Amino acid sequence: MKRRILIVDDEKEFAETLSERLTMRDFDTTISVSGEDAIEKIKGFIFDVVILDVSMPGKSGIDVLREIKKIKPLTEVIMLTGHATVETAIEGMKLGAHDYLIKPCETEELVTKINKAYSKKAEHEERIREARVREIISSPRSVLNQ
Amino acid sequence: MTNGTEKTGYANIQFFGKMVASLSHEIKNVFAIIHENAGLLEDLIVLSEKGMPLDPERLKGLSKRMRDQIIRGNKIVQNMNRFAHSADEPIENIDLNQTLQLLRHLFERPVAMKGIVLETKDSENEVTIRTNPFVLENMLWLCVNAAMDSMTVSKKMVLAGEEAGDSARIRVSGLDAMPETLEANIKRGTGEMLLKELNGTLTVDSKTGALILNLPKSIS
Repeated sequence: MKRRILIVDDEKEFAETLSERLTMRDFDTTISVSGEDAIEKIKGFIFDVVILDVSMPGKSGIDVLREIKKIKPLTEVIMLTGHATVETAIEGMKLGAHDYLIKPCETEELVTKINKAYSKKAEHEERIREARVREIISSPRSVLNQ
Repeated sequence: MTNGTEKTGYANIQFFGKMVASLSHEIKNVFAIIHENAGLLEDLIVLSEKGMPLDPERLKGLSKRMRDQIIRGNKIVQNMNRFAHSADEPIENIDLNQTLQLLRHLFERPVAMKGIVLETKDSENEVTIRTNPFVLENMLWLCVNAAMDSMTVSKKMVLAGEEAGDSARIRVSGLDAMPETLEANIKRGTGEMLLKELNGTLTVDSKTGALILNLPKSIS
């Protein structure tokens, strides 16, 4: 299955072009041009990785990151930032973002980070699956009760 | 202990820094878009080398997108340059409409970050005043910044200049919450000193939801 990426950036042309380039690299991409729209999409769909601009009008990248981690904690986030907002991106990492990149960034570097973020998410999901299996084996009745 | 002039000087440097940081962020966005478009062009060339035909219309579109971003970047740099030169002379004749249009461009991004749209309304007649352009710009930023916190429902702020007999007025309107402390908040710190340098006064019009900066036609 293709890796599902959400690109969130208020610069529509940037988001569209990056989306096209990632699609060429076999990713399944969706774009959002506002934090509010991104949250709605995250609620309704499953994304593996979110590429999130730090500095956006209205809901900021940090606000969106907080909500993503509340709604879909396993979804990995890569923050995109200008030089002036690197500190905000580091704050984002403290809040659970996987990594950050400074704009303009090299696509291959971004692809590497997306793949790493995806692997991290897949590992988490696998651990959760294993824990569930262990739970079923150790207490089959609890599953029947469910 | 710092004196008033030092405080005003520092406030002016802070204001200059804030505006330049905001404009440079916009320029970075322009670079990022050009970078992605150039990258897309490279991707298409790589695909064409592998046998996928290149669509000339596609290339024309990409070229236009890059040119449009260069035009956008050029406008930002022009505004940055006009802003930098506004500190050249301590007292100058300025056209109020032109100054407010420049400020709309300068303040657009920080205002948009709070989800507010900034507009200007030109006065019917040209209004020229003799003042300190840079201090006026800083004072108006203090007003706009405070006004943003006084907008709860309204999402549109308008800057308008007008002649008022022997003086001139700049209205910052669109405010829908008028805290009693609004005027004091602006004057606190450097606002009062900037007003003094401009020989101006600041009033709050609760009925129309506006901050009004009253300025003399000439401070020299």
